Amino acid sequence: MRLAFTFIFILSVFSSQCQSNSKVFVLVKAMLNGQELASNMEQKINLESNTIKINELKFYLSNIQFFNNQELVWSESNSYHLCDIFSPNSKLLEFNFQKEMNFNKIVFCLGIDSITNVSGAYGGDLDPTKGMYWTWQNGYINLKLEGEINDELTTKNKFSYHLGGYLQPFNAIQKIELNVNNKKSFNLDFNLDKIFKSQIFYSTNKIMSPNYMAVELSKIAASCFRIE
Amino acid sequence: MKKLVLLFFCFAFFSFQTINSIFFVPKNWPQPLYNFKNNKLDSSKILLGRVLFYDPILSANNTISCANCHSPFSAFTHIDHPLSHGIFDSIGNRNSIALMNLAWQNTFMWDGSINHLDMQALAPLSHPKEMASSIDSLVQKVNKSKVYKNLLYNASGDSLASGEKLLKSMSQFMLTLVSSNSKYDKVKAGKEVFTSQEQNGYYLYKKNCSACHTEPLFSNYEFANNGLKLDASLKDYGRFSVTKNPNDSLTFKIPTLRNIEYTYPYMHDGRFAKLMQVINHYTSGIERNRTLHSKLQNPIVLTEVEKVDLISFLLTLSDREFLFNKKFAFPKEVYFETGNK
Repeated sequence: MRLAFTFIFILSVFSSQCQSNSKVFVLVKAMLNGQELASNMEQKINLESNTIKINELKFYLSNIQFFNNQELVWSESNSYHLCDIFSPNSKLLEFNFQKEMNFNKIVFCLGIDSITNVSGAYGGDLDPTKGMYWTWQNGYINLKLEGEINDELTTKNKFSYHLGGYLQPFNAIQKIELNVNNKKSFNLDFNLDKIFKSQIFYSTNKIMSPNYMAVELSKIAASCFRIE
Repeated sequence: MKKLVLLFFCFAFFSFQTINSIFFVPKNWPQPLYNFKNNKLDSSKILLGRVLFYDPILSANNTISCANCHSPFSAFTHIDHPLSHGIFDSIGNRNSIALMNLAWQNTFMWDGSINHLDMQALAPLSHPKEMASSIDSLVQKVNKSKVYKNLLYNASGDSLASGEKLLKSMSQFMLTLVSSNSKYDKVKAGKEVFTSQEQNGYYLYKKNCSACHTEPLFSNYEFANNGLKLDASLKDYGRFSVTKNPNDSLTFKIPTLRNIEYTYPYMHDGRFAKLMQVINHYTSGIERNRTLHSKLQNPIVLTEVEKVDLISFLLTLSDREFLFNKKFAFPKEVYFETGNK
C-alpha cells in the first residue's frame, strides 16, 4: 500500500512538473520592403529606386528578459545569441521558463555589453571564430550588414557596415523593449527599410570601426525590430 | 598551540601570495589584474599555449610564430629592428613589446587597443604584415594536427579545438612569463647589495623615472606622451587612434624597464638603439607639445657621470633566469616525444 502511494506521488509530481514546464519560441526574421530575406543569397529586393542584395546580415541579441507590466518574470542567463539571417538554425530562439508565466513585454539588447567586451575569450556564439570580433582593436561587432546595390560592378556600390564599440562616447549597444502578447511563439521581425532609407546609408557605404556614425546607425537598427 | 598559530599564519601568507601551485605573486608585488577564475591555470593548458606560441602554423604560410617577434633570449621581444617584421618580410608600424608580467596589465599594445590578454593573439594573427591569418584558420589547422589532438585532449578532455580554447591556452603560457629574479629583486630581498654606482643610479631613477616606471613592475602601465617628435612617415598618434580623444594624442603605453638591457631598440617606433640615446632624449630631446606628460614639463637634468650611474642601475633589472628558463623555451620535448606533425 505504502509503495503504491509513493509511486502515485512521484508520478503526480513528475506530471505536474511536465505540465508547468513552459517554452517560448522566437523566430527572428529579416525583412526588406515587405519581403523576408531568405537563405537564398542571390535574392534582390527593390526599395525606392534601388535594387538591394544582402550578402551578409548577422547580429547579436543579448540579455533577453521577459516582463509582465513592470515586473521581471524571467531572464535568460548567459544570454548571447548570434543571429545569422542566412543560417536558419541561428534564427530560432528557444526560452525555457521552467513554469508557466505571463508576460507582455520582451526586453533585449542589440549587441554585446561592455563588461563582456573586456572579459577575455568566450566560447559558443561569442567565440572569436564566429567572425564578429575586431582583432585590430578589441571588441565585438554587434551587427554586420554587407551587400550591394543596383547590380553595377563597382566597389562604390558595395556597402559594408560593421557596427560595434563599447567605450564611451561610441558605445553602440542598444536596448530594445517591445510589447508582446502572452504567446508561446512569435516572430521578431528586423525590418531593414529604415536603414536603407537613412541619411547614413546615402552618405557612406562603409562603417568599420567604433565612431559616431556606428552609434547612429545602431540606433536606427534598434528601431527596426518589431513583434509580429 | 603556538605551532598551530604559526601554521595558520604561514597558510594565510602563502594563500595570499599564491594564485595556484603554478603561479606565484612575488613578494611585495600587487595582486594581478588578470582574472584567473575565468581561466584556471593548468600545466596541460600552459603546455598547449607554449606549443602554439612557438608554432609557425599561426601564420598564413606557416613561417611566422609568436616567438619570431617575441624571442625568449631578448625578453620576448624582437631586437635589432626598429619596426618588427612579419610574413613575407613585411615591416610593421611599431616596435614589438617585450612580454613579461602580463598578469599585472589590462591593456596591451602601445596604444592599448587590446583590452584583454586572452584576445591579444588575435591582433598579430590577422594583421596582414604579421601573420596574415585568422583564428578560424588556426582552429582548422590545429584540428588536423596529431600533435595538437593529444595536447588538446590533455588540456580540455576533448581533442577538438575552438577559438576560446586556443586563445585561453596562449594566455596561460603568457601569464607564466613572470620576471622577478633580477639583481634588483635580490637586493630588495636582502640577498645581494648594489654597488655604489648602482645605488646612485637607483636614487636617480627614483627621483626622475619612478613616477611612470613605478616599482616593482617598473611601469604604472598608463599612457603618456614622453615628448617624442612625430615620425612624419608613420604618423602614429598612439592611444588617440583608439579613444579619438585629443587628450590622448601622442600618448603610448609606458613600457616596463625590467630587462631593458635586452629589449633594444626602444620606444614605440624603435627610434633609439642605445640606452644612452634614451636618457639623452629625456635630458635634451623632449619636444614640448599640448599632451606632454606633466612630469616632463621640465627636462631631466643629469651629468654625464649620473647618466652612466643610471644605466648601471637599469642593468640590475636584467633577469637572466627569466631569459633562459626552460619552462618558457621552445617545447622540443613535445616534438621529440611525438615525432613530426
